[in-house]
Amino acid sequence: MTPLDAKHVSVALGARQILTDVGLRAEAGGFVGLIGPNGSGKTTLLRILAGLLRPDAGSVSMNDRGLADMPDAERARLMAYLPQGTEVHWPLIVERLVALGRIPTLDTWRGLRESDLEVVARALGSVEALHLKDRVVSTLSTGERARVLFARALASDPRILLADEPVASLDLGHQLLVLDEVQNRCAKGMTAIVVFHDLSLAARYCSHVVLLNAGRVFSAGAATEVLTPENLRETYGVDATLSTDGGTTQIIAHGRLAPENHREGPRP
Amino acid sequence: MTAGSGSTYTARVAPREAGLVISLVALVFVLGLVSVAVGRVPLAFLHTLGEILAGERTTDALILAEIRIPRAILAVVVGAALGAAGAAMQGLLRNPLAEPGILGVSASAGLGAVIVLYFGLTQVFSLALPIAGMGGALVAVLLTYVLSGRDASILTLILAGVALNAFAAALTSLALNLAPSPYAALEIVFWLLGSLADRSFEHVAIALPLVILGGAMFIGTGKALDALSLGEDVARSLGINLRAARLRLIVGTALAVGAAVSVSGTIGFVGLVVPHLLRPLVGHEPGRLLLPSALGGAALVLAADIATRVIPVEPNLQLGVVTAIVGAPFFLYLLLHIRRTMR
Repeated sequence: MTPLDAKHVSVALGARQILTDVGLRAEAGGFVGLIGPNGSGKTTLLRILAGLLRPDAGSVSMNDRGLADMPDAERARLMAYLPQGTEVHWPLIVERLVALGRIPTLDTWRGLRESDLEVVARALGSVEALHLKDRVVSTLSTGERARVLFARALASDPRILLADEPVASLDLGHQLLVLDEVQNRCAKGMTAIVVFHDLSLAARYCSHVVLLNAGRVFSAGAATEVLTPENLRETYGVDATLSTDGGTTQIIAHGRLAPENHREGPRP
Repeated sequence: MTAGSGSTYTARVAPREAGLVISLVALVFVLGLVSVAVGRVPLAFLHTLGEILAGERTTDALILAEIRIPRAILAVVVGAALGAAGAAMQGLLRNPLAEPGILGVSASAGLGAVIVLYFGLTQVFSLALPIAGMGGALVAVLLTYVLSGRDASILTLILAGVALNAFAAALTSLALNLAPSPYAALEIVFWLLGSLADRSFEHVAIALPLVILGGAMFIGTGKALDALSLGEDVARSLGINLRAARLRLIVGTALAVGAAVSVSGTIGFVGLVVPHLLRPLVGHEPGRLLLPSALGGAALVLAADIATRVIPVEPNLQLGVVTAIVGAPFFLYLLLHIRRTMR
């Protein structure tokens, strides 16, 4: 059974073609990194995979079933979606906010139970945020709020996690903490698709990397196959090299290339 | 569930929430008693109640049964409608400045009534006023229903509300402009100020079923409102059928507010201030705010209606004037206070 499989996905928003013939397949336990320069279609692809946006062409299946035909409630039990940003509209108590992640598991008229709160506490604990449990979310720092919202996504114990730049506002230590948690859960069978801007983190954690450029898959495969100096030059327009230090791959950008040396668009 | 499910979360939070609801119910009850006891004619309340139950038709019994009691019930019905609708709109739009009239329902209901007053139809048929008000509200309901059924964005609905509000206000001004007599114009202005004076059980019979129906549409929307705290995408990813929830909240608001305005005129600030006031007491959770707001609205309208009768001026103050005079400065205070605590 394939947790998530997108085939030949194309979508236009308004007059602008955002994605063209994109395919992405995530295996059980896979940690897929979605990378690409600004405007390459990462967020749009993630929203399509989450069932929030219907592609104009192509298909997405979740556990070998068409996402379009899957009831919302069933999809919500399988999958958690964490968008970019840390906005919360009301000054909620952290514990109650994270408990919103339990909604897919609740019966229609059943409220939260003690067992739900235990799951919430575990999710908060896994990102070192349990001490924030009784705080009002509007009083948290951006990084604290990002961890709390990440805990919200974990609170349904999802089989599939779709996260859009979950570590963008975190300090170095907490970036590793959050991604370690994703990796641990993947080792237990969860499938993760995470949008990264930090390519070194993508190289370090992902079992599979998909590089988008101008709405197409430019390259996909193991991190070392995708994150080559040539690919980075053609897509990001940077002169970059990979170095491995103590088993950890780092991508070092030495500088921006003049625009004529790379093209915004797919490989011919 | 495990064996220890006696200590459910509901059990842990429920006392606080139940305490709030019980206190508000008690407040509404006490204010309701004060409301029937206060008026131009001093009544021995229990004695008169005894007369009613004994079927004696004394003047006091008639005043209590046919003027004071329906007036108190209407205050509860109208206040509950405005309070709950305010909480629903603020939760749906994720904006603490939203109020029940935002969709244009209040203004449309008001316009319906103004048309009746303009043509002097109240002389022909005493219930023409509330029925025309419901007609006006219905037009607004249908419009919002069509728009939200088409999956229009929240922004479209708000802008349609702005247009509807402006159009209704323009036609109301037109009616005042062309009023056949200064008396008719005065009648229109006074009606628009909102009042519960001289209402009967017939008004209760018109408003109550629709307010109950509107309120019933809110039942079960709590999870959707809570989930919306995290934005529409996350709410949908949590399995919430946003389209259905939105339709219920909008149509429920339109029904309840339309019915309330039809019998009372426009009473401002209740739907704005009450949810604000109670929100901190439910941890700012929009889903848990609906019921307390309904009760708080009932209490506030009862209190304001009592004030119109005990403040010794002639003619008596109109209800909408009292709620606005008290509500507007209080709202300003709340805004300053919230600014300090929220951000």
